[in-house]
Amino acid sequence: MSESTISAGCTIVGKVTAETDLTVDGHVDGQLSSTGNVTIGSGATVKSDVTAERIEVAGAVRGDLRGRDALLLEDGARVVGDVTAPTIGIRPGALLRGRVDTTDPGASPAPARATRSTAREEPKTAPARRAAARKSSPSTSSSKAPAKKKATKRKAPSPVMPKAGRTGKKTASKKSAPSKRATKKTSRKKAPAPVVPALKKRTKKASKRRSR
Amino acid sequence: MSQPALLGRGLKVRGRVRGENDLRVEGTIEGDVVVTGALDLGAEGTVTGGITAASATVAGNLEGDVDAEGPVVITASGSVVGDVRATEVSLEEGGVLRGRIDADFELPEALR
Amino acid sequence: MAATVIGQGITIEGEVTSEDEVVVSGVLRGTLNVEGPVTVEGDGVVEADIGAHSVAIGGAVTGNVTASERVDLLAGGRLVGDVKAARLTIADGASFKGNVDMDV
Repeated sequence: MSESTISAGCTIVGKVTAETDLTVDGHVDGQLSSTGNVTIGSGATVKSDVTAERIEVAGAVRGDLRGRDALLLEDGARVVGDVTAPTIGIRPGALLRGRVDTTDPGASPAPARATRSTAREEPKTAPARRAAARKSSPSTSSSKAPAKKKATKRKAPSPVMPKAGRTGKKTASKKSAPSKRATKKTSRKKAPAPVVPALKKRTKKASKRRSR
Repeated sequence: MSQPALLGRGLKVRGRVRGENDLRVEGTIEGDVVVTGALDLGAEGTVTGGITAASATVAGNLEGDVDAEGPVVITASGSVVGDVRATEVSLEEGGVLRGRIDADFELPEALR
Repeated sequence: MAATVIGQGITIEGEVTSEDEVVVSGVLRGTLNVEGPVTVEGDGVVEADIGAHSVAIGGAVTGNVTASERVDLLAGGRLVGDVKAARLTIADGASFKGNVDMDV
């Protein structure tokens, strides 16, 4: 199938849908998507989100760019918008104002940096988490997902943890118990340790003494 | 010309790192890094914290923002989770970037 | 400048304006205004009013066609709509339903 071109003197206001490769050298204002590749030439001005297999930009874009396969911003490109693709190239001379995400735009978006460490860990632990979630009962795992993240973090030093014995659930597998263990551990950690109850006892006695 | 300072592979620093010249990081830093020169984060280096430098080349792992007066290069082995503020940011295919880039420029009339 | 080619796999819904030639083998719904020639090829489907310097129709056009110079309805071409042009040809094998105004 022959390639299509929106030439420099052409303006489209509306929706462009392509099943082939498309080159834009003119002006597009609206929506642009292709199951093939889209090339935005150096003279093009695109006021639209662009979704395609591979997107190469040398011109100006105001909109989000989503490449299912790859995205390349070349020298001279000026983009205001978010760019997402599994592989992204930004050449020196390309100017961008927006978010960059080297992930598959089809997959669920990564959280916008809630905490740095969890944002980093999520892609790594996600498959393990999902596998664990499938094996344990789905209802409990979904509610305790955040706890699970912490659990996987702490899993490494678990042999050192002295309280494992008390729970009576010495299951070695990470799959069923961890969610329950994690919450118990975290609550224990957060609960004020032995020091405060002793003080309280003292003050009670003291107050009793004083009242007398 | 002074040699760049090197934070070698086996080294782990927890706390702020400050330098007057260039700095090459091949070890691990947990804390902010502020240098007046160029920051070179090697492929095996890790920084968890912000980077402030004249320029930066990231070939390793960075979890934190980059604030550079000059250009920032993220190589194919580099990974940055954080925002990048620089005069120019380039990303090699294969490199990971999850965050914002804010270059200072104007779009042409037709797109304003 | 090069021509705009709206190829077979392209569908446009909206307003298209061009300073240069436009060739349509795909689908266009909306309006088409060109300061040059327009060609609707055999596979092309245009559901739009067309305004151009000249229009050659080999595909399917539903809409009014206005040309400052000429309109040529080719064999295999199908036009449903009014034509306003100084010159008009309708080839044997073309189909046409509409009014013609040559007083431009």
